Amino acid sequence: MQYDISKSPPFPCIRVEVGPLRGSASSIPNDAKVDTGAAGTIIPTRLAKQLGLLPLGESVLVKAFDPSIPARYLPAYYVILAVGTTKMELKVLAIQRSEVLLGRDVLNKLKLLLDGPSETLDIL
Amino acid sequence: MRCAKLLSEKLEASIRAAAPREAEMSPAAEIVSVSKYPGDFILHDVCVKRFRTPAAIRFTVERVRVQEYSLSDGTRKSKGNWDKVRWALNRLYFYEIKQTLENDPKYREKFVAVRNRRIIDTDSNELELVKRVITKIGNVDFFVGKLGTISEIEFSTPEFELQE
Repeated sequence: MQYDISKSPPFPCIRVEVGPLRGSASSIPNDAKVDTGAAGTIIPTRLAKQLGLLPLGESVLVKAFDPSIPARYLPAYYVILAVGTTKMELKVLAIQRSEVLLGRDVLNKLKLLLDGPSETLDIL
Repeated sequence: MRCAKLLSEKLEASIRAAAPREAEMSPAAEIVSVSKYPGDFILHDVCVKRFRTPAAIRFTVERVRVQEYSLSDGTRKSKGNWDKVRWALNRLYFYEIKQTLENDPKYREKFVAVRNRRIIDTDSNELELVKRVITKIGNVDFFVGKLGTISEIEFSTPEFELQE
């Protein structure tokens, strides 16, 4: 998949499908940014609403980039996330943003080839 | 203000539709009024009534006025919704009983699923607990809390901003 060239420098992106852990709602495809700086995965709140997801708990303390902001609890959701042929059940957070942010909890389960000069990302 | 009024009316209609049988019961003396709620949002004026039936104490929400505030600047963030209110009440119950559960070796370091002021299941594996509860009761509101050590997740990326 092509990098997102609207960012400078371009950002590696991938197409994912997000669906509920249980229930009848079908998965929704969404663009995802690959971000090794993120320990976890984040979905847009819009997507959580579309899927009819309810927050389940807050069993993790979330710490942001800015060290001056204290860690706090955020509601967590459980989803099935599909990247290529790999499907995984995982806990995600939801914030207002346009694309999914793929963190290391997902990336560490995948083999990805980042081809910077061609600005493409492939799942191996 | 108009938005809050509309929301309140909508929620009250949902309550009446969801709990017609409880409304027929005689109320017990105890009324719990939650005026402030710590966390990501604040619920105002949630009036909860407990009904004593021969079998158990039932728990219903009598009247709800909800406003959601951002803790960073005190402005209203969104309209909220009924699911969120019920989730918040489940959450509130978890924090009410958390200390007691932490002193009980049976629950130590476990995840606990809470709904309608009841512990509905526990497990040391959060995902297994969530899957089991959803299989059992469906995709409905419940809260999962962790007892004991809480893990921390770090976003060392400018892509994620946490509001102060």
